[in-house]
Parts: sequence; structure tokens; C-alpha cells
Amino acid sequence: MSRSAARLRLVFTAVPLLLMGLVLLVPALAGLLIPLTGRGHAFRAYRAVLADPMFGAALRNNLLIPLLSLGIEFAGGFALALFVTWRRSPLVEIAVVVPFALPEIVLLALARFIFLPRGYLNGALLAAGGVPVDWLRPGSWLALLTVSVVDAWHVTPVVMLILAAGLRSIPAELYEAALLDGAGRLSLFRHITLPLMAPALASALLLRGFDAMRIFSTVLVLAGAEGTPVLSTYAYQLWSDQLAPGRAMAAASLLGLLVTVLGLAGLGLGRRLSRQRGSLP
Amino acid sequence: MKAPTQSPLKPRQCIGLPAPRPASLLLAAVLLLSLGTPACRFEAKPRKRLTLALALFPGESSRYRRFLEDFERDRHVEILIVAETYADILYTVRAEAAAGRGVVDVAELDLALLGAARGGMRRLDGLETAQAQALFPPAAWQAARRRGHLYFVPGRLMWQAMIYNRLEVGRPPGTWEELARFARAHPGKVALKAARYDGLVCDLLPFLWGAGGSLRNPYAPGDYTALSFLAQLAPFLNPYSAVFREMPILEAQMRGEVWIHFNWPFAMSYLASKGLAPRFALSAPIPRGPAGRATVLGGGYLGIPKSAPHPRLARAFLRYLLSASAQRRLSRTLGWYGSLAPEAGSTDAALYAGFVAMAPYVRARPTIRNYLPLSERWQDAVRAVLFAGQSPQAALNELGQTTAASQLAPAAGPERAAEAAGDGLPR
Repeated sequence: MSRSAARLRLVFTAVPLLLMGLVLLVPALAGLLIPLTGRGHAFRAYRAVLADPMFGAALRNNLLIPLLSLGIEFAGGFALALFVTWRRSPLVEIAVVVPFALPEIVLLALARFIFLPRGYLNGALLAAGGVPVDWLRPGSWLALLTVSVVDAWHVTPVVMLILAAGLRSIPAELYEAALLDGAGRLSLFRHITLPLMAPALASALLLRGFDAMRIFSTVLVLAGAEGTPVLSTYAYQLWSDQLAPGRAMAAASLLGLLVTVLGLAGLGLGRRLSRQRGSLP
Repeated sequence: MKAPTQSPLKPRQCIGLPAPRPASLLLAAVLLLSLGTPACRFEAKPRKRLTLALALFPGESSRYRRFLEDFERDRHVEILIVAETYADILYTVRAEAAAGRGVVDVAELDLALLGAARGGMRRLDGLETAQAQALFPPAAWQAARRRGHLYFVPGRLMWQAMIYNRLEVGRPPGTWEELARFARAHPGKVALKAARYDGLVCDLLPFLWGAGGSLRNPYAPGDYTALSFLAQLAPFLNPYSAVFREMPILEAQMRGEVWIHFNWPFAMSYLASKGLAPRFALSAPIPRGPAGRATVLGGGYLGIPKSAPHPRLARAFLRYLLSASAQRRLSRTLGWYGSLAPEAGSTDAALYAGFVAMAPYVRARPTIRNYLPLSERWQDAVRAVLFAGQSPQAALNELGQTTAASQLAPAAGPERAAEAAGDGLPR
């Protein structure tokens, strides 16, 4: 590479890095300092957050909702990916992608009208002779499940698209050879589909895993900041209602730490899995 | 070397411009001269820009703009409205105060934030004229003063009343006993704004004051009476009370999930705009407690930050706002109940009957510097009683232990008298 080309490459790398540093890194570092400044003990804000019972509930929900949501969207996404790969139907593909194409607030407002005490779902239940259910009752397990289902509903198309792309990359010859050797459907899935899908599964899991941990608007619109608190709504509540920026940033920093630690662990696990399958160098 | 040949074209023609003609030269001269005339100089002078940071909904901004047109024209000033939340306005004022310069000339703050913001605001002594005083209840002015100085002026004040479903409720409960009886008979139909925010304290205070209690004295007997009454109501409250704020509770009332709740006058104009009031919903006084009736003052106060670039103009704007005609126009343009009672016999009078009836019982939350932490402690105490089954006494003991001395009411002196007028210490 010539010297001028190397210089140009340096410039093209440095400019976006500088911009990212200015708009992302500097505010993030400044934010990390907020809980450590002010009167009293340096970690006073962190101690106050850790002693708050709502923080405990938010932390628990922040782990449970992504788990439930990921479980639903991977089961649903994989089933849909298999369906659209084997029975190519553009109409079904479009119908499946619609929830993701809708603006988030539209989808959430719609979900809210469905699950409200006098919402569409309870109306349907009553019309069918059933009894209305408190889908979003504050603090209930059912509200946690409802939030997880709605979150999964919104993003299952993304998982489906990633997995469908992975499925389509598996050579058909492998299936043909296995069928000639007398393999059954379950063996095909277990010994061909699943191992060769590992990189796609790992990518989808990482992408959605990070995203699911940062859940915010679904909880806020459906259940309210206090109904099913998660760390982001908890931080938002401290910032906007209690006007406590120190504690809000402490909660946000703890969320950042949680996402980073679990994300890095997931990344390591994904790499190991892919390497075992021989997909990554 | 050969000398360059001189071009037959003139320099202007070389760059594609036609040669000037006498007529165009004359026109250019006239234009240049006209720029120097007094009329043009007057137009060229930039108008002063007054920046108002107001807590308005996006839809309200355009109506507020309409209201400002008179002042802009009379004063030859351009007003810029920055619509933010109260919290963001406070953050802005604090940031500008720390920087020592800013752009906000007038900041609107909720009564709960006055104590926290006061340090960064200019004194407004002299704006509290007799005419202005007559516009708002004494408690409203009391909350704006500190140690004999005025730091804020009431901008658009309001207080809470009871909003009820006239078809389902019939005669609204007038006392605590009637309210408790109604809640028991109709489980889930009475609701409180009991999310974890200052609105919960606004719902609590009419009960606390109605029992002779005080926010700044967790050991007052009235506090226990009020929390015991709320504990009695708890099993029959709408379960979504735990997440209800102003709008969600109003929407629940519109859907028929809630029949009785407490809210601000905007709720009535909102219900009326949806065709639900006065046909289905009406306002009534908040039920009377053992020590009397009370309601909480809320809404926006206006102040001039120390870092305001145009403090004199900002002061003139506040003076303009404190006239009866401006207040009347403000209420009408924005659809607020405002500082002036609606005309008797009008539709508004029917809508706001509960609010008019509560006017003599208006009290202000304490505007102490660290009101927000005090409010948060009360929010936690009330939520523990309502939703976690904690006993009122245990909640109050915990509250007393965690409340800082600076948040408690002074034992004696003029400050105590002021608190008694505002926060409802036993008078």
C-alpha cells in the first residue's frame, strides 16, 4: 500500500472514530461521573439505588423478561423460518414481517388496547362466555408474561429473517445425501440443520440478547414504570419523576454493566460454539 | 517572446457580465440610498427575542403562541416558546446557572420544584400588586415567597377536585365515610394517582390535611388518621392505581374502569373535548375529613433565571401576564380553568363546579429546598401502606426516621406560621 493510500485510510478511520468519541464516549464518561459527584459519600447514589426495593424488582425483571422474550421469539422465529424456507410463500413472509415494519409506538399502542382491562382481548373473552383477565395488573407475573409476549411479537420477524438466511445457506446436497443414507426427519434436523445453523443462531441470539436487555418502551407503555419495572424504566423514573440524576445515572450504569458482562459472556459462548462446529476460524 | 494580444472585449464582458447601462446604474444608486433611510434602518434593527421555557403539551404551544401575539406586537418583541417538561426546565435552569449565562428569560416550574429552583432565580419584588393578588388564592402567593421576597409569580394555577361518573355514582360522596362506603360497595371503581411521583402526594395531601396532618411532621396524629383511612380504602381501590398518573387515570375513567378519582381542571376540558362531560362526567368537592376539607394547589409558576439575557423585558412580560384581562384570555385560549371562576350558568360553570367549590380550601405544598426527597419518602410510605400491606404506624415510623431535620417543620417562629398557612400544620 502506498504512503498516500495509508494516510487516506488513517483519515477515513480517524474521522468517524473522533465523531463517535465526541457523541458517544464523552457523554457516556461524563454520565458515569454524575453519580460520583455531589454531596456526601462518593458512592452514595449507588448505595441508595441498591437499597431501593424497586431496584431489586427491576433487576429481576430485567433478567426474566429477556429470557422469556428470547425463548418465545426463538421458538417462533425458528418455526417461521423453517416454514418460509420449505414452503416459499411471499404472502406469509410479508405477513410475518409486518409487526417489525410497524413503528414501535403504533404496535405498543395497539397491544395496550388489546390487553387493557376493557381491551379487545377481554371483550373477546367475554363474548365467548369467558371471564376477563387482568393481563397487565401491576406487579403480577401475568403482566411480566404479557410484556414478554408483546416484546417477542415485535421482534420475532428479525429473528426469523436471520434464521431463514441461515437455513437457505445450507446446501441441499447434504440433505439429499443423508436421505439416501436413510436418515429420518429428526436426524436431518439434529445432525445437519441445527449444527449448520449455529452461526446464524449465535448471531441472532447476540443481537437480540443485547437488545432485549435494554427493553424500555414496551414496559413503559404497557405496564407503567412501576407496574413491571426494569432497569431502564427505573432509571427514567428516577430522572424524570424524582429529579435525581445521580441515582438515575447509577441505575443506568448498572444496566450498562449488566449488558456488557452478559453480552461479552454471550459473545464468548457464541464464538466457542461456532469454533466447535468449525464455522469460524 | 511574443507580447500577449489585447482582447477586444472589455473586462466585464470577459466574465460574461453585460456592460452597465445608465438606467441600471441609476436604479442601483436609488437602492443603495434607500438602505440609508430611517424607515429601512428601523426595519433592519433586530427585534429582541424573549425565550420562554414552558411546560406545554405540543398541541398547546400553538395556542399559547396565539395568546402571546398582543404582547409581541405591543412591545415589538419576538417570543420563542421552548416546550419542555417541568423536570427538563429545572435541569436547564440549573445548567445555565452553573454556566453563568443562558438563553432562557422566563422559566415555568411546578410548585413542587420552586424550592429546588429558587437559588437560581431573580427576585420579583414589586410584581405582587393588589390587582395581581386578587387573581390568585393567598396560598398561591405564599408559596412563591421566601423570607419576605417574591421569587416566582403564579402563571396558570389550578387545584384538584373529585371527578366522578354521574351516571354510575349519582350523588358524589361528600365525606370520608361516604367515600369508604362507596369504595366497599363498588370495588375497583375508586382510584388514586399512586404511581411513584409527586402526583401521589397531591392525592395524599387532601386526606392528610383533611385529618389535620402535615407533610413536614410525620408524628402528627392527623398523619396516622389519614394513612389509616387510605389503608381502609386500599383493598377496594382500582389495582391499576399503582401505576396511575394524570392521563392514564383519566383514560381509565373514560373507558368506565374508574368511576371516582381526583384530578386537575384540565381533566374536565379533556373530557368535554371528547364529548364525555358534562354528559357523563362531572366534578365535585373532595370529601370532607374529620378536620375539614382541603385541596392541593398545583400548576405552573413563572420565574426569571439569574442568567436571563433580557431580565427587564421578562419582568414586563410577567407584569402583563398578571392582569385580569391577560389571565382571562389565557384561560380562554388554552382551555384552562385558570385563575378566574367561570361565569355562573355557563357550560364551564357546570364542568368546573367542583373546582369552584374547592377554591376556599386551597393549600400549597411546602416550597422548601429539599421538598423532592421529602415527597419521595411520603410516596414510598403511602405505596407501602396501599400496595404492600404495611401498617400505617410502621410506615410513619420509617418515614420519621429517614426524614432529615431540614425537611421537618420548624418548631416556632414566623417560618412555622408560614408553614401552617401552606402545608397545613394545625392552625
